Amino acid sequence: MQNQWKLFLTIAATIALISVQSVNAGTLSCSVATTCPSGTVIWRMSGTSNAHAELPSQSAYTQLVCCSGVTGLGTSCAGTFATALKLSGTTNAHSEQNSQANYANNACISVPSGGSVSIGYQATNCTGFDTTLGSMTGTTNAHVGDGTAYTTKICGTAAGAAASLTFVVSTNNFSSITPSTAVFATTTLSVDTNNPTGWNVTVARDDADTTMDLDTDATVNITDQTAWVPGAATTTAGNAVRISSFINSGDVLGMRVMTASGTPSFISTAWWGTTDSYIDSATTLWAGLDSTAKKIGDSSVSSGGSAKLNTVLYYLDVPSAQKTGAYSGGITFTATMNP
Amino acid sequence: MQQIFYLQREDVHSLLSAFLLASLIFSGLTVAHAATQATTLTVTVAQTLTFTTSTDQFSTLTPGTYKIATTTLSVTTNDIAGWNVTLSGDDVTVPGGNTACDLDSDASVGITDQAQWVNGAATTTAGNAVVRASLDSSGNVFAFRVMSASSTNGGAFLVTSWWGASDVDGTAQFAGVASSTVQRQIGNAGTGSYSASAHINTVQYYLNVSSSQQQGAYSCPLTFTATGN
Repeated sequence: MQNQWKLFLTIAATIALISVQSVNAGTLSCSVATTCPSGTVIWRMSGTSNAHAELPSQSAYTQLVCCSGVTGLGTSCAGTFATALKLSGTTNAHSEQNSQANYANNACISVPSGGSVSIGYQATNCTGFDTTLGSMTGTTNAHVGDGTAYTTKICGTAAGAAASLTFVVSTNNFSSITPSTAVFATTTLSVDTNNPTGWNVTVARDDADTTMDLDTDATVNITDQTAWVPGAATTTAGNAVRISSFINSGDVLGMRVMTASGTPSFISTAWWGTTDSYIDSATTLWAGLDSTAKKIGDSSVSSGGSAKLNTVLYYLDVPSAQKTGAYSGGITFTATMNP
Repeated sequence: MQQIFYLQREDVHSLLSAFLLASLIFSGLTVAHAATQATTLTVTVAQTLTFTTSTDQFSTLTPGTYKIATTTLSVTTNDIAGWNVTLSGDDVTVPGGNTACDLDSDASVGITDQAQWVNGAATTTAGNAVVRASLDSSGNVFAFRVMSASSTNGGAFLVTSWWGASDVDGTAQFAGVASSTVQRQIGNAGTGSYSASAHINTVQYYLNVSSSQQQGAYSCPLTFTATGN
């Protein structure tokens, strides 16, 4: 009996953790309603029973099979998808199950690449599936209705792709600097994420005092511009300033996100200005690196299936008294998927 | 049947083990919500050096009564390896050739130079400078030295083994201006001499002539060169 108990505990614990993972992926949920404000319409019906069907692109019928719960849910009949119903026409149509081959108009349910979706037809209930999309009178030449109308249920299960994020940075460093002649460097940020709510990037200097120190004597610093404080929203200005407003007579290390190039959804012109001038400009704004991570950009949408590139531009000038030698400083960028 | 719900220590261990095992198995499926990338900015700060000189000239010289003049050297540099200064006479084309100071109206008439300066191999090694009483031509020469006083932030540049430990007559040591073809260092501030402020040092000139020196205005064009080490 004790062995049975241990086996039960092991299975229970495993199932519990699997459930946690499943929550991350979302659960398909469908219903028939006249509106579908936050879901995806899979097909439309003339009524909740004894109904003709039409594709979701049509607008003749008011009863909507509305599904939600899985990120990136769609009606594409390509990629990762399942055919929910096959219709005799685009509207005013009879229906058949996806195993039949009489009708050419498919009502599909799709998920992003990496996810999974399936449709099945069962008598009485949709046990084993996530949800009931509707019901139908037969395998072909059928009328359709909501989930309670007929014995033959149209069942579905779907899981979205797990959100992922790939982040790579590449830096083109400063050349040698002659005091009082500003030089520039760049770091390219490459983000590839399928997270539908997008991503943001923060930056922080590694050193507590200043970003760059003389390699042979860490007490010898290069002055940082006033540390970046972003606006509360990407539409609200932060504390970045134009070159002529730099502290320390412009003998500072500053940074900004280039806005004339890059990913529009990530760029905040309210933070960094609208142009990428290398000389003083009211529309090119700079700030210093902080020892705590500060957001420098925020995209509210995914990267769209490929890596999106953005560039951080650095400005550097030093006073004539700045000691000669090699200076360096660590910077940490963090890309985070938005919740 | 009641025994099923009676937890023993082994059962608790089994439960924890099960959670641990399952956690390890499924940790690989956890979504990566953030990624961190480190980069390093690097730059090399190049040398800058600002060098100015200012000269207080000799007054009128009566033969047999020497005169002193000075040139103040001001060096500002960010070079952490320091800097050095050389001095040469524009007219002193070859050692033992033309003199540093010529009569303005007749360049063939010169003032005798003290033996040209040859610095020590190191700033700790004496050169060929001598005290005033040991100057050539009974002291009727043009000579120079770097003063140990009259220095502001210039201590690193001073070389007492070259020019004497003080500016007192009998200790202070003089030499002749070197040829422009063999510019010789008169001071060298090495590593550790860095200062954001100007380094100021003074070159002192000694001049006397014999009673037979032709009357008139003489000029002694000199060139100082400051170089970052």
